[in-house]
Amino acid sequence: MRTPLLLLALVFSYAVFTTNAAPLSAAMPRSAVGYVEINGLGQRLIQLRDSAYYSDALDSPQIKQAMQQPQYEKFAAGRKVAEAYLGMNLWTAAEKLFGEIAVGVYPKAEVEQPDLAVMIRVTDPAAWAHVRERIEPLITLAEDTVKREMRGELELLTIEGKAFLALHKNWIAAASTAALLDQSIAGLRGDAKVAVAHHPAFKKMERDMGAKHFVRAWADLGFFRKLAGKRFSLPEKYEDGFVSLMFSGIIELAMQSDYLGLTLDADKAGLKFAAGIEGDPKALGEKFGWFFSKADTPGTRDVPTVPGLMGGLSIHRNLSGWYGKREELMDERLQAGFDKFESDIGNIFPGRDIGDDIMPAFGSTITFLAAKQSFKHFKGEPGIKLPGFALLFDLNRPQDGNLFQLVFQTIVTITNLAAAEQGGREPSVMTAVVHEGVAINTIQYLRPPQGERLDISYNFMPCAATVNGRFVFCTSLELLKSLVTELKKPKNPKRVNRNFNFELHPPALAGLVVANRRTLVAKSIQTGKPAEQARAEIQLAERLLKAIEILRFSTSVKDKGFQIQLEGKWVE
Amino acid sequence: MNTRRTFLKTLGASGLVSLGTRPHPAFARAADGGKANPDGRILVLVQLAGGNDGLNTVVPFEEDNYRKLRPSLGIGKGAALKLEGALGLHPRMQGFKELFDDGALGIVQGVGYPNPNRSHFRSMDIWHTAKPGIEDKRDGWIGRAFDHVRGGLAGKVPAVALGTDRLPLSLVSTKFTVPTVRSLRDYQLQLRGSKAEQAAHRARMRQLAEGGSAGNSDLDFLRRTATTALDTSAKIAEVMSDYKPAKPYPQNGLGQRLKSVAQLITADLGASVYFVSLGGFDTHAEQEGAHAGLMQELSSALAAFHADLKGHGLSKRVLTATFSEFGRRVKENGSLGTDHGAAGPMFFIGDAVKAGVHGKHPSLTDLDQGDLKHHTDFRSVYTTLLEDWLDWPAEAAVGGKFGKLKVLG
Amino acid sequence: MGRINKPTGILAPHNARQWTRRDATHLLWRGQFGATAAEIAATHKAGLEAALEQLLTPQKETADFADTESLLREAAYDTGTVGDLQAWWLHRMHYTANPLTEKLTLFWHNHFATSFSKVQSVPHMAAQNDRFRAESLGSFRTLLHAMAKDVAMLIWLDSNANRKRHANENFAREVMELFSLGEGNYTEDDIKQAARAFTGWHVRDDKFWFNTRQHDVTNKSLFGKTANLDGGEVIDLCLTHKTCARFIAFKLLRAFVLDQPTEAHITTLAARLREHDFAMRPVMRELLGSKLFFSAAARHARIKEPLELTLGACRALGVRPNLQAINRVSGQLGQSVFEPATVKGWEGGRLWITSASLLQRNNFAMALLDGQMGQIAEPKKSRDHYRELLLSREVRGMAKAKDEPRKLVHLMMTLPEFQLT
Repeated sequence: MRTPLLLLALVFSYAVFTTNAAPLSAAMPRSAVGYVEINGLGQRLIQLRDSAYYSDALDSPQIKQAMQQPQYEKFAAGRKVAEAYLGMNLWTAAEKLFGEIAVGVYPKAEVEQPDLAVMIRVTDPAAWAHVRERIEPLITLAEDTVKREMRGELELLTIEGKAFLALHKNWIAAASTAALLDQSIAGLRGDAKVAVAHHPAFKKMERDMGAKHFVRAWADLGFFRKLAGKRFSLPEKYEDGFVSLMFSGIIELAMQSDYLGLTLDADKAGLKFAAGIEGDPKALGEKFGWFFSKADTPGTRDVPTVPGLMGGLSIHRNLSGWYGKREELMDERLQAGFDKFESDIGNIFPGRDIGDDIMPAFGSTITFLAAKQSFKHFKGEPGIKLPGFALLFDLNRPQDGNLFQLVFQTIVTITNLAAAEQGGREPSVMTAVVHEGVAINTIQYLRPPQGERLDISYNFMPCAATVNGRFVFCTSLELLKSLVTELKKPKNPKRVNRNFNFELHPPALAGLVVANRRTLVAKSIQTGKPAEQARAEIQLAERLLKAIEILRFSTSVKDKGFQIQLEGKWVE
Repeated sequence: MNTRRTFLKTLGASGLVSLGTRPHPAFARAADGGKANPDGRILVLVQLAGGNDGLNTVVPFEEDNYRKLRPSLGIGKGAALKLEGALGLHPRMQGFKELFDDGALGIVQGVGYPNPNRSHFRSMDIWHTAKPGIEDKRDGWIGRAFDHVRGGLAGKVPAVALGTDRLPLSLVSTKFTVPTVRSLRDYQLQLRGSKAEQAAHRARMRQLAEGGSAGNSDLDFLRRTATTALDTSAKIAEVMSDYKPAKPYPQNGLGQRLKSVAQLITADLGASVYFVSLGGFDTHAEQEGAHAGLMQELSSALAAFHADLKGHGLSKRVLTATFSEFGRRVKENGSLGTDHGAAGPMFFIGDAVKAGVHGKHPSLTDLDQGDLKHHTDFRSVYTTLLEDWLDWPAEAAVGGKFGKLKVLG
Repeated sequence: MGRINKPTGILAPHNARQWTRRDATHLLWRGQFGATAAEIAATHKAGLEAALEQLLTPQKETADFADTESLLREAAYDTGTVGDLQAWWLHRMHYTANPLTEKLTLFWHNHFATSFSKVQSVPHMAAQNDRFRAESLGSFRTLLHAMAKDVAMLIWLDSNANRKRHANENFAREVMELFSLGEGNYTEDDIKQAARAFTGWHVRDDKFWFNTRQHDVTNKSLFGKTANLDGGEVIDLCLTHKTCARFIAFKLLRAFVLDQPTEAHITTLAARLREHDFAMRPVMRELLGSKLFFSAAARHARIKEPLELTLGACRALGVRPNLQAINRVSGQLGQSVFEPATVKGWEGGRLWITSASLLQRNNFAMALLDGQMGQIAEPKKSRDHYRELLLSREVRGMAKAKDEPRKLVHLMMTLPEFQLT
């Protein structure tokens, strides 16, 4: 009984070994400080070639025009020659040869051009043999520049003493020094004892970001830190307030991370790009506590899903904490600006301190969104239809909503005065509307605007409300009503942890283009394009937008690291 | 009308002629009828936008009321840079102090106009149109002056505004187009090809533009202007690549703009008036730091400008004057700043300037609703600049006859 | 209405049998914004009478033009910005089948200079422009009356401030000084009297409204007539004033014939204007078909205004203009439509030319050849072809030019001669 089982195990493990050859990272020599790997490129190229988008792109006027350039004609001619010589279509050649590709970057003593090692594992050894056969005579003819040597089953080529290649029936290795080439060969044969895959920083990246990707890249930050100094020559105190607020936490974390990893996955469903660093935000201490959400908590809120949502961004930052630590975080020169800001804003909030009274009103999440707006409250519509915009603030305490209300009132009064001065816009009065039990403060025009092509300023009807612990400024009454309905729903306990979330819904954006198509075409005509070309380009833009379901850019705090991700889903 | 006699009368009345010294240069020119831009004299106007606080620029540090009404913002005797008597400059104006000691800085006190308007737009329009009583923004004082220049200005670039997008109202003329130049690149002739090809092409253009008779046909006029244009652009190209300022300009906005002006003057563009602006003077709150920065920028830029012109032998031909739409209130406000005021000082820089402080400091006790009262009408200053410096008739430009000041010589 | 006498002397018709290619080029560059080689050839073939007929009678616009034109106009109304309105008009100037109408519209826009910077309304400025176009080959009498009630004009000239007991003279002054009589041909008292006649001519609800309560109904004396005159009667009086026809004649001559008209020119044309009672079509037909127009004195006798230069160069070289770029360049050269710099409009002539603006005109030529003003085909034709197309005259120094076409075109476009039309 045992023998058949043993035999089965042997056969099974043999199959596993031959079908799942070790990844190239296990072959790449250890001392790399950078590494890039592409898996299944050939396959992807064929998918691209066969996709509808590729043929659409070829049909577009810009590509057609580019194809008439002399440079393209030269390229097309060269391609014909190459294909005739190799006896196969270039697309097929790519598919058969580009199985796995890896590049390693190795530092040199004097920091000039680093050394490189490149490995390619072919998909189809038979096709590779065929190509090699075709290339052989060329190598013989080029004997002045290319020196050939056989070492067992390997063919070794040296090109002008600068590049070293090894050709095997299943793979190709190349390096900029002979030593590196020898190490690469050893790795590919499975004789390497240590490879990039065993580098502790690399292992950390695989742990945090996964091992199987279409493309992945890795950099050994520890090495670069030694090279560029502990802080990569960035100042302790930031000189730009915006950078400090938006990026400082990430930068500080990156400075302590052992690795920087990048991965890319793309297929028929969509694409996903991620960048990751290692590090425990808690290790940065209180100084940056305001930046990060906690790994096990929900982080920033999702963008409320209102009908016609075009895009939104949601960010977790403890503004009060950042503001309170500004002297530690930012350069001296910026402090004068903050002082001026305080005295300016102080005009709206007499008797209160910005740092102690106003800033703490902000909760940890700020959200901004844009969505299609309806113009039901007018007898007509503006000629240019812009989306409605909303800005949502989490409130620390419900009564803090009054402070925001005060700002809202001030803004409305100022814009009303400006409108009266310029004479283009109807004056308005403040009024209140109740929707599902929530009071919404908004404006009412003295004379309701009428007409099919109202002025562009009628896209903005300021309104505001406090709902469920959040304060909302909005530019459209109907949008605010939808938001109130959405926000009143109980909070979803299961949320993806995100520190920053920016999402775009291109089909809704396509709706925006469609609604304003005539204006966009007119603008295009103004630049000299004929009307049909202008229309064709706008239609192409609409089609492209409708093809992508969602694009999301987000950052998240992981247990031991931090990741930035860009994801896109195509429409089926 | 005997020009000489009327001119002597004016000289006598204004006391500019003094026995035994060299006669006023304008005298000689009046005799031959005056031409546009005689001896290539140039006026550079520097606008201080926002309302400069003249009281903290030229400081009467001994006055009781000054210390009393400006407990925080007042500049003390020790800090001010001594001018003469009990007057000093803002501590950050080393550049101006040097100019003063060199005899190249003149200060005219208490300049303003009746019924001062404290709105930025209105008051600035008044300074630009020289019409305090009515709102007529059709043209500016210098634009109007162009129209009356004897000999005409056709074909010439009469003035240049540098570093602004809109043409300043003072330069607007119903007849002439004044170019606004954002950078010297606007004066470059765009050509393609290698340097040699460009030079050859430019030479051909020059050759084809030449050969006009001195006639008055449109074609002759175009040929003359074309050759001037090509020559000017060639000179400016040279100047842009080779220009070595005699003294390095400070790295601030005004310094860089004045450097471009110096380059254009050196390239002999032929314009009589240049206009640049410095903004940010509306210091309602926390004035100390902001105003100090502006004083630093203003004086360092102008000192470098003057030194540069001197180094190129041009300082006798160029006169710079600063102006602002109003001064600021004597009493400081609750935000450590000052609010809009009325009268203020004007500065004149150049070798032709009669150095020193002209006119008494406005009274700090006899105030007009809390603001300094003016004793010199700004139109007198304009008349002086137009007639005594540029030798252009001033009456139509400023809308009347105004007594002139002895700030030149 | 009596019989109209035929014109004699310098305005007598040019001999239609002496019709050369250069005559055709001359007529087209004056009646249009530039001309293509094909247009010149066709006009030469068709003869003077047919050419004048084409220019002066309404031609049907193509469907494409109508579509694009309304698209651009909508965009201007929607965005409310002057830039879009400018693009709309520039598109008309270049693509219309009635270019002389557009040239005259521009002429009237200059004459009744009103700026968007104060009016701040695309619909009002567009309505005023439409009115200019409608009456461009119609009647100046009708146009002047219409402008007195045009909303953009009333806003521009502060008419709402003109009240019974506090008359604002702005409008009355401009009617006399700028629109009908010219400077110095009236007294201050005339203005005061006229101002009272226009009291109550206000704007309400974006329309003209006669405010009876604010209208002064006492007697006014103007040019020898005393009565309770209202605005319309004042305008009629201005039109019959002896300097009105001269003033308009002077401007028409400068705009279409030569920059420096003589006394004889002005007097003769003024007489024709009166003979036709300010009807523009017959006057323009006589003017553009006259001996004077085709005489040597009128050839290359005008300096191109910026739009003639830019759009004309585009048309001649077959460029589809980038309207935004052309608008920007014309603005830099001093001609921004809908935004004349001063109430006097653009005086034109030599005032377009300074060393700075010549450099900018030269740089425009380079930008055009680089394709920045719209797509341009590489110049491939001969020296003679471009010389006739762009200059329509001999130029010394260019007889044996052997430059390659692109350089040649640039040289021609930067010649002083190219600035003349």
